[in-house]
Amino acid sequence: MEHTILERKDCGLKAFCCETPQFKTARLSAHLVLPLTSPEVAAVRALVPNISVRATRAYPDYTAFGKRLAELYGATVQAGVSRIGDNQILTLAASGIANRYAFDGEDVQAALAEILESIVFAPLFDADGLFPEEGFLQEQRQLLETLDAEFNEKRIYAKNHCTELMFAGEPAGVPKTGTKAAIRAATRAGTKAAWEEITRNAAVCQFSIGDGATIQFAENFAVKLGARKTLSTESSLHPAPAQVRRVTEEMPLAQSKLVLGLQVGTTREQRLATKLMAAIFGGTPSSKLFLNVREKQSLCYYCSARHDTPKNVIFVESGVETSNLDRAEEAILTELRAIQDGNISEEEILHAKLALCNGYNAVADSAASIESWYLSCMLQDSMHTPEQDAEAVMRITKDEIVEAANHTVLDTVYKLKGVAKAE
Amino acid sequence: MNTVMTRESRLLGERYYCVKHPSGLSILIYPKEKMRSTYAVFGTRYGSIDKAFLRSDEAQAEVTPAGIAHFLEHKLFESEDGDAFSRYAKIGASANAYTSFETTRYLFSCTENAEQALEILLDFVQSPYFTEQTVEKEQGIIGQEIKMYDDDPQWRVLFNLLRALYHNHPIKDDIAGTVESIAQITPAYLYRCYNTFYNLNNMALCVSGNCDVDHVLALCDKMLKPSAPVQVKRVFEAEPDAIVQPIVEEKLAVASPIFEFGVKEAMGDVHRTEKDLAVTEVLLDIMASDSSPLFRRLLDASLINEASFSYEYFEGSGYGVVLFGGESSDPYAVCDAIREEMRRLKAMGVTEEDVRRSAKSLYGGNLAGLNSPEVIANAAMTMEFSGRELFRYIECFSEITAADVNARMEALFKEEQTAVSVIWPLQENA
Repeated sequence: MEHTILERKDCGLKAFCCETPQFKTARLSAHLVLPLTSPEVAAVRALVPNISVRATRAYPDYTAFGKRLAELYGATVQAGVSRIGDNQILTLAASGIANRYAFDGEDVQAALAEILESIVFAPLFDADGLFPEEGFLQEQRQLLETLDAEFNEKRIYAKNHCTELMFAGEPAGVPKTGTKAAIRAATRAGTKAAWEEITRNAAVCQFSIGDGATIQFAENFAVKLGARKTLSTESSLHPAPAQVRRVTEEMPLAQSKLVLGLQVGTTREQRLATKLMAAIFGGTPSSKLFLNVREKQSLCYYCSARHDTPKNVIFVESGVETSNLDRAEEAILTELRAIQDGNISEEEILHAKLALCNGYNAVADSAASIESWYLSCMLQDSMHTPEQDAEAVMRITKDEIVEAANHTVLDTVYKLKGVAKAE
Repeated sequence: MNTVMTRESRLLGERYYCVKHPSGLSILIYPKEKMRSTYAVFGTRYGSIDKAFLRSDEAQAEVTPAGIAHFLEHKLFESEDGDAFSRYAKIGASANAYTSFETTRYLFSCTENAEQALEILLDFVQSPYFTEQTVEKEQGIIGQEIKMYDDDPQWRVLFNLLRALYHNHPIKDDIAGTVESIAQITPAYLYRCYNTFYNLNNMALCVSGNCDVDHVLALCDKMLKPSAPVQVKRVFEAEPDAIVQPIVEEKLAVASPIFEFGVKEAMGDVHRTEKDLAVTEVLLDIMASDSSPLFRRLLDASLINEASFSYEYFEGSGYGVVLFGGESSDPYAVCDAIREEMRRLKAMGVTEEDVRRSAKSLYGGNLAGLNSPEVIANAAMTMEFSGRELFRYIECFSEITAADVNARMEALFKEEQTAVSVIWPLQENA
């Protein structure tokens, strides 16, 4: 996959461009990266992208802007808030069909570039120079409702709870959109100040991917950003726990959830060995957790492990019958001990390697995967291709895997325990 | 010798190939240049609604316990000498399967060893192996899966609605069945349903991405087992046009109320064409997309949010429902507004400008789907099983007129055939 990378230290911009007719669409995005500090700051910042994509100066009415996007063959403008490592990532993106498929001959991509630029650099303000009150109130309400929606999805709720418990006291422990109280306390003036802080200090990772994408957009972006100093986006590794944190919450549910947070003490250089170890442990349908805990012991419907690279931790998520919660925890840890003791077959290692390589080799087939891969590289300050990781992972030895496992310890146990409905 | 038919769209700049294989299997091959991944799906026209069926070589229809299609999906991965997942693992392919109301599909994606992966797919789906012991073990695993869905408010709100709309049609039954219905499943039932629905005349294979027509067909020639020319007819009890009840409510551990509003479509034996689908989607886009007056009114009144509000035309064999759903502090106010908008649109009609804008938007959305081999293969299979064609469907958005949409609205929007399902928070979550 041919691509161009532009790095402009003078303005804190890293940009990635991949022009390919392989896709019918093109997507332009800007990820604005800032360290997480407090729920209050996270909340006002999280409001900014959501308010910004509601309307533009050219289309100041929400419905009129929606109609304009529909006219552009259902183009989409997206706002997103996520956490990677210790950072809050505010994403603004515009995507739409490649010009060659526009049957009325419009320049869809030029229109989208203009829209995204205006959303990032010249959002709609009212006569007081603030985000319009109507949009602010709408987005404040909707951000609160997304927290309710997380509660409704118990798998996500349980994972988020374990994450916050495990990272308590670290930037990564701050909820990515702040707390309900912090969102409620946000003001229009505070949100405007957050926008100013973002444009002044956020590191910017910009992507142009698809049919018709050019590096020109990134170059224009750099000019708009101008000379500026951005905040560090380095994430610190999660420290070893003094003791295991355990929290159990009860709720009227048919199935309980068990989430284990594991701290890994390997170095950045051991990143791939750690990833491979996590894959053998619970990352694939041929992993120990899937085959032994789910299939052989029938202890849970799902049971999987995933490595969080920036914090170097592993989360194990499972859905378990309430009466099996303790047994499932023990069974999961037994599988970890097996890897620590070197009880891994060459076949297990090969299967996990092939599964990881399959994922790496498929990155180039999806614009979203390409973006996610290179965003991660930009944040780790380590540009490498998926193919390079695929080659490197095949060279990892059993000893390296066992060593990574022996640096892995239980850190946090969160149980969402199902109890009978009270009413 | 296979006869290959080419489907081509100049507008979309795409083409794929269709073959009716001598074994009876329909094969669709959609190469995507520059893609490294191969995605394949092997599916049968057998889903959760197929509890009762009539084979063309038998006189009597047969009724089976709910949940067999899904149970078979779990069990087919096993064989006497291991399971298909471990075979895929040896070559680095990623595999999965799923059961819907209408179909069961087995799939893989891989970036290497695609021919071996396809061989595994064609082999294990054609090699059933069930014993009393393996069936009993699966009853435990599927029981866990059913419990997981019991806690899923989105799932509950939809099925509660379907039970409020449908008296008899099995669309109202959970896809996995119930703990009680799966307890009745035996190896004999599984073999019986397998031999009926996994007849290749009732199946399709779609391969997309990095693939070659000749290689796929050569492998099919080698692997496909001849099937008797048996057709399977879906059997449903007569379904009244009227709904069962207008409101259904439940309380779960949710933080905010969730609703699903449905308009039940009166069904006949009518086959819905590509254009029928496209016209209905244009109608719903005009009515409820985020640039519609209804959406704006609901948003301004803080009755919906952008993240959760959704709408779709949900249709298949013997059923059709227009669904609107999401989170709302006042679900009944949302439903009143939707009914009012149905009345207003029927009175005013839609304009050519509305139709053109929505059609362009939907065309763009469908075109974007052609980026993904997974979307392509699954969309092509859905179209194949419903007697429609993928490119025809996407292209026909350019032909739709206001008259088409207004006529569809007249037939579809019947206020007396609406119902609403609401999940309220439990007291302690409110």
